[in-house]
Amino acid sequence: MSSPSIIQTLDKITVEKQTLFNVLMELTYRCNHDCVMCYNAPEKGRQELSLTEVKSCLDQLQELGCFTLIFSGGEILMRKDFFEIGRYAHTLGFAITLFTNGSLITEKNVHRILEISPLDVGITLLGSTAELHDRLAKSPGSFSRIIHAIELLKELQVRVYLKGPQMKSNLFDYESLLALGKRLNVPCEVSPLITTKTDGDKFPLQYRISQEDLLNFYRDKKIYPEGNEPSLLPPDMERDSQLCEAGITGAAINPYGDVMPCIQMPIVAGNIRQQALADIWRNAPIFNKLRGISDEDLHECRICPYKDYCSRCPGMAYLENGDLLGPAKLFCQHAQAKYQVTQERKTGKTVMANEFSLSPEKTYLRQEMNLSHSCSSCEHCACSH
Amino acid sequence: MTQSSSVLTGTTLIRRHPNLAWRKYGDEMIVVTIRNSRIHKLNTTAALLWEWIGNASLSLEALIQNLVTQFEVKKEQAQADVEKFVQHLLDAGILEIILSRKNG
Repeated sequence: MSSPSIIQTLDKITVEKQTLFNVLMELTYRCNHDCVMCYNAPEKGRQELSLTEVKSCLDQLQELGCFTLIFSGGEILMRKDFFEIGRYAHTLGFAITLFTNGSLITEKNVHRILEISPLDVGITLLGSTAELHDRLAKSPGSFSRIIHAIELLKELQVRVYLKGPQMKSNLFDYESLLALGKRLNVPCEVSPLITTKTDGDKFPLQYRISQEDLLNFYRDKKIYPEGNEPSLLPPDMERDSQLCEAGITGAAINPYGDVMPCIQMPIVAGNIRQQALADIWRNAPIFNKLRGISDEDLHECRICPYKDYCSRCPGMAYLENGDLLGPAKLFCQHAQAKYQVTQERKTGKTVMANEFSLSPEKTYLRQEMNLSHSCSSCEHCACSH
Repeated sequence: MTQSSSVLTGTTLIRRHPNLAWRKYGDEMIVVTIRNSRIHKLNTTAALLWEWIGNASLSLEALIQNLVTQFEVKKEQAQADVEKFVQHLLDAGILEIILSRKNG
C-alpha cells in the first residue's frame, strides 16, 4: 500500500488539476515576542477571523482538496481558541504543521498539542543562549521556556525542528545553535534569508548579513558538506517550468481572511468574509496570472548564468521591486555565493568575494536583453543596472 | 485496547487510528500515518473499508455484511477479503482495534 512515488503522483494530480494542496494560515499577528527581524505587518483596525470564520475556512479548504496546512502567526498560542481550531482541523484530515515560538507551550497544555496530531512543530530560536535569544526576541525568560517546551514535546514524541534565522546579530552563533539542536535531538535549520516586511517595509533588511559573510556561511562544510554543494537542484532533478507553487497548488490566508498566493507574495486575491474560497481560488486574476506564467516569461533571471543556484522567489521580487518576473537582490546574492562556493570546491581555489566578477556574462546579457527597466536590485544580479 | 496483532473475529470493533491525515483525490485515497510520516495510497477495497468506517467504530461483521450486500459476493469470500484488508490497515497503523472478543 505504500510507495515512494506517491508524492510525485500527488504532485502530478494536484498541479494538473490546480488543486489547492498546501496552505499557510496565519491565525493571528499577536505575539508575545518582538523579534527584531519579524516580517509581519499587522494592520490597525482590522479584526482577526473569529473561531466560526476560521472553521468555515477550514471546511472550505477541505472541500477544495487542501491537504498540508501550516498554522502560523504571530504566535498561534496567543489565540485562546487555538487548540479548538487545531482539533477541528485534525478532524477534517489535514496534515498539520505548527509554526510557533514555543514559549507558551507548558506542562498544562502540551497534551492538547497531541490532540491536534501535528506532523511536526517548527520552533524559531534566535540563539543558542538565553542572553542572545531573549535579546533578539525582546522577550526576557523566553529561551528557557522554549527549551522546556521542546523537551515536553519530545517526551510526547511530537516531531520538533528548530528554525534559526541568521542575521548580523547572531551569525557568530550558528554553530552553537546547530550543536544545541544535536543536544536536544531535534533537526535544526539555519537560514540567512531575512526578508522585508509583508507591507514592503525594508526595516528588517538592516539585519541581513553581508555578502562576504554569506559566502563564508555557504563555504561552511557543516552547512553544506562536501559533495552536497549548495546548488538549488540535485543533478537528477529538472527545474520546474512554473515559478513556484504559489497560486498553482499553494496559497496563504492572513488573520483578516485575505487570501494571497503566498505569505511572501501579499497580493490580495480576495477575502473569505466576502467571497467563497473556491471562487477566489478559481477566479481571482492574480491566481490566473500566476498559472499562466513560467520560467520562460522571466526577465533577466531567465538567462542568468546562476539560475541553477538560485531559489528565486517571485514574491520576494515583488516585495523588493513590484515585479513578479524580475530579480530579487536577496536571491541574486545567494545565487552568486552558492555558485562561487561550488566553483571553489571544484577548483580547490578560494576566491575572495571582492575578486568575484560577473563581467563576461553581464556583457553578454546586456547585448542579449537590451534591458530597460528600473530595478533597484542589480548590484549583484546579472543585469545591466 | 489497541492492538494490531489480535485475532480478528466478527465482533472485533475497529476504527480509524486517531493520528492520521487523509485526503481523497479522484479515486486515490491518500493517508499519512503521523507517527512515522509514511504516506499510504489505499487501493479500491481498502479505501472502501476506510470510508465505511468513517468517524465511528464498526465491527468486522458489519463490514463483511456491507461487502456482501453491495457487491453480491459470497459471505466466505467477503470475510476473507475484509480480514485481509483490515489486517493490512492495522499493520500500517491506519486502523486500530478498540474491542476484541473471542467468538463463542
